[in-house]
Amino acid sequence: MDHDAGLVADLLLRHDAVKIKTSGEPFVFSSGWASPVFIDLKRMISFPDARNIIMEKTYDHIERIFNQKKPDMIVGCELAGVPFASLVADRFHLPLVVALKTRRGFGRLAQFEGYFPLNAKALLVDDLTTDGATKTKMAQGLQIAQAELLDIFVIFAYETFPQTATVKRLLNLHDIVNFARAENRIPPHELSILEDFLRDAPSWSARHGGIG
Amino acid sequence: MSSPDTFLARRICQGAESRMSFPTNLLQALKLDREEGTKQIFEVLRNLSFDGVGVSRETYGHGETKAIDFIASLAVASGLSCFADPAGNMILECPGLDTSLPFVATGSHLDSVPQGGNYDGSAGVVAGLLTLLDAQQQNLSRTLRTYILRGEESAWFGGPCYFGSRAMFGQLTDHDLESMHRSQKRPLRAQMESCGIQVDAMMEQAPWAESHQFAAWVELHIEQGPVLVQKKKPIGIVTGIRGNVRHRKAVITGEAGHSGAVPRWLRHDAVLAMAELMHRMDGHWKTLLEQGEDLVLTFGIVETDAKEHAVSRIPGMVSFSIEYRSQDETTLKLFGNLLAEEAEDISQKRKLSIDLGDVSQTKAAIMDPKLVALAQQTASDQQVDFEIMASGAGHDTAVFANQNIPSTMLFVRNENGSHNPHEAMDIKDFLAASHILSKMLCQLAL
Repeated sequence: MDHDAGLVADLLLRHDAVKIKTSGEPFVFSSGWASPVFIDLKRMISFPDARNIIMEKTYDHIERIFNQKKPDMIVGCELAGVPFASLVADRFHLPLVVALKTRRGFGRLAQFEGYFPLNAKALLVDDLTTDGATKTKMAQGLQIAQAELLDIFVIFAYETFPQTATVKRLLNLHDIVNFARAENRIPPHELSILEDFLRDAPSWSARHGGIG
Repeated sequence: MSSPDTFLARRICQGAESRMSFPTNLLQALKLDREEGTKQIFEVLRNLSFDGVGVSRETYGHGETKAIDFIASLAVASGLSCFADPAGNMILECPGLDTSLPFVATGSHLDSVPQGGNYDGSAGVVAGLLTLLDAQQQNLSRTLRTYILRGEESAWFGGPCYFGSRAMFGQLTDHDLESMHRSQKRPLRAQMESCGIQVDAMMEQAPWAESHQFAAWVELHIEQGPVLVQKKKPIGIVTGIRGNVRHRKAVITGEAGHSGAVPRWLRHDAVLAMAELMHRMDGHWKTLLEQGEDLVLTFGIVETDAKEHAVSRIPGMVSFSIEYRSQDETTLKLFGNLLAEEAEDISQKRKLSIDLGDVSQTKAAIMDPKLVALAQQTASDQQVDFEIMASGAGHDTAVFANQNIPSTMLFVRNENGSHNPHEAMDIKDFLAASHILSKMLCQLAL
C-alpha cells in the first residue's frame, strides 16, 4: 500500500472521521447510494497537526500533477472543498476561485465567486467524491464559463460506485480498509461488513434501500 | 348608421343634460373651494359604484360607464369639449390657439378591481379634469387633452389588459377580444358590445391615434406600494414602469405515493420540486439585486388538488403561478432563461415533468428624462417634497411610452396599498400633485 495513503488513513481513523454503521439504517448519500461507511473528511480541518500532514501529502501529489500541466487557478468546490483549495492556492501562490453548487444570477461567472479570464486552466479541488456527480456539474459550470478543466483532485474518493468523473486522489476506501485490517484498527465484525460492501457496493446499496 | 363615436357622445350629452343642475353645483363648489369640490367629486364617484365593501367598476361594465358619464358631464358643464373614440375612451379637450400643434395629454382609467379602492385610476382622471379647468383660464398654444381610458385592470379579463389605450394604437388582437370574463360567462368582445362599442368597426379603424399627435403624456396615479408612506413624501416622480412576465398556471407532474412507504430516492414529489424551483429562483433574485438589477418575483397561487391531496400522500401534482417584473427588458429575458434552465434541471434531477404553461408579457417602459426633470423642477418650485422612483405596477402610460411618446407619471402617497377598499389618499397630497400636473402640462402647452 502507498505509504502516504496509509499515513492519511491513520489520521482519519484517529480523529473519528471514519464512521461505520453495523446496524440500523445505512448512510444514504445525496446521490442516493447506501453505504455502511461515511468518511467525514471536512472534520479534519479542525485538527491543525493532522491537517498539516494531510496538506503536505496533498502538495506533493499536486506538484506531481503540475509537472505535467500547470493550471492558472485553483477552483474549490462549495462547501467542504473551499478550505482545502484555499490552502493549495496559498501554497502555490495561484489565484483562487470558488465553484458554487448552482449558478446564481446571470453571466459567464454566475456559478463562481472570484474571477478568472476566458480560457483559464483550472485544477478543481474538493474534499471527497462518491460517484463524481457533483464534479461533473462543476465541470459543466467551468465549460459554460469558458475555462479549461485540467484535472480534478480530491483527498478521498470512495471508488466503490460507478464513476461519472475521473479524479486524482490521495486515498480511497480500499486504502482505509487495508490499513485498518493490517493494523488491527477496526473490530472484526465491522471489518467484515466493510469487506462485504467493497466486494460489490452497488448491490450492497440496493440490498439496503439505496440505488442499485 | 351612427358611429360608436357619436353614439357614445350623444348618450353622454343626454346624461349630462339630465344631471345638469347636479354638476353645476359641483362646479360651483370647485370654484369656491377646490379641496371641498374635489372631495365631493370623489364622493360621487364612490357612491356611483359602491358595492357594500369597496367600489366595483367593471372593465367595459356598467360601473365604469357611469363613472365616465359623470366626469364627462362635469366637463361638458364646464364648457370643455368631450368626445368618445371607437374604443369608448372618453376624451376631454381644451383647444389651444394653434390646433395644428401636437397636443399635451394626461389621463387615467376609471375601472377598478372587484371591491377595489376609489382612487386607483380616478385620481388621475379628476386631476386631468382640474388641469383642463386651469387651462381654460389661460391662452395656451397647444391643445390639452384628458383621456379617460377604458379597461385598464387585468382583474376582469386577464392580462395584458390596457384594452382602451392599446386599441388606440392598433394593438388590440382577436386573442384579446376572446379573453373570457372572470365569471367565464362572456368574452371581452361581448362585454364591449354591451356598452355600445362596434367592435368590428373599431378593429378596422385602428390605429386612430398616432404618436406624432402627442407632444407629451403625463399620468397621475396613486402609488400602489408603500414607498411614499415609508419615506414620508407626498409625491413620487416615475422614471420607469416595470414590465411583467406571467405564467398563470405552471404544472408539475410527479408521482403520488404513500408518505410513509416510499424512500426519498424513489420519490417524485411535485411540491418539493416546486419548492426547490421557488427557492432557486429566490436565490437568483437575491443575487441579481446584489448586482444592481431591478426585479420582483411572486408566486401568487399554489394549488394541490383538493379532491386528492392529503397529509399522508406524496403530492403527485401541483399547479402554481409565476410572475416577475423588471424595468429592464433584458433582465426579464435573462430571468426567463434562468427559470427555464432551472425547471429543466430540477425535472431531470427529480425525474418528473415541469410545464411552465402559457406566458403573457407586458413590456417595460422608460420615462422621458426631460419630462422627469420638468416634474422635479415643478415640484421644487412648488416646494413639494418628492421621491424619484420606479413604478412596480403596470399602467396605461407604458403603452404611450412604448409608442415613443415622451411620458412620465406622478404618484400620490396612498396608505394601505391598492386594489383593496382601504386605499387612503390625503386630499391635500392629491391637490399638491394635481397642481404640479397642471403646472407641467400648461408649461408644455405654452
